[in-house]
Amino acid sequence: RTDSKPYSSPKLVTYGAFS
Amino acid sequence: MTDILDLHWSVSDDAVANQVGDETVILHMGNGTYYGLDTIGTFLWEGLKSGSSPSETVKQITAEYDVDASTVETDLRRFLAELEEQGLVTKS
Repeated sequence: RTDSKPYSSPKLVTYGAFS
Repeated sequence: MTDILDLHWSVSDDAVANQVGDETVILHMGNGTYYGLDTIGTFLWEGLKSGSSPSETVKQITAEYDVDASTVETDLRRFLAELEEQGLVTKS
C-alpha cells in the first residue's frame, strides 16, 4: 500500500454563525 | 434494516458550499452557520453531490487511501449522522 495516501477520519468543523 | 451507507443522500438546498484546495467551506443559509469539511469529508460531500451512495464512496476511499473498508464504513456512518443532524444532508 506504499502508493496509498494516509487516511484520517472525516471531520465536520463548526466555525460559528455568520452575520 | 437498510444500511445508511446504501441509501442515496442529497445535499441540502440551504447548504452553499465552496471547495478550497482539498477542503470545503459550507454556509448553511437556514441556520446561519459556517462549517468546514476536511479532505475525507470533502471526498464524501463531492460523492453525495454527484449522486453516489456512501458505499460507493467507501470503495473509492479505500482504493486511494491506506485504510480498510470497515474503518471507513464506521467513520462514514458517524459522519453522515453528524451531517444530517446539522441539516446539511437528507436521505433521498
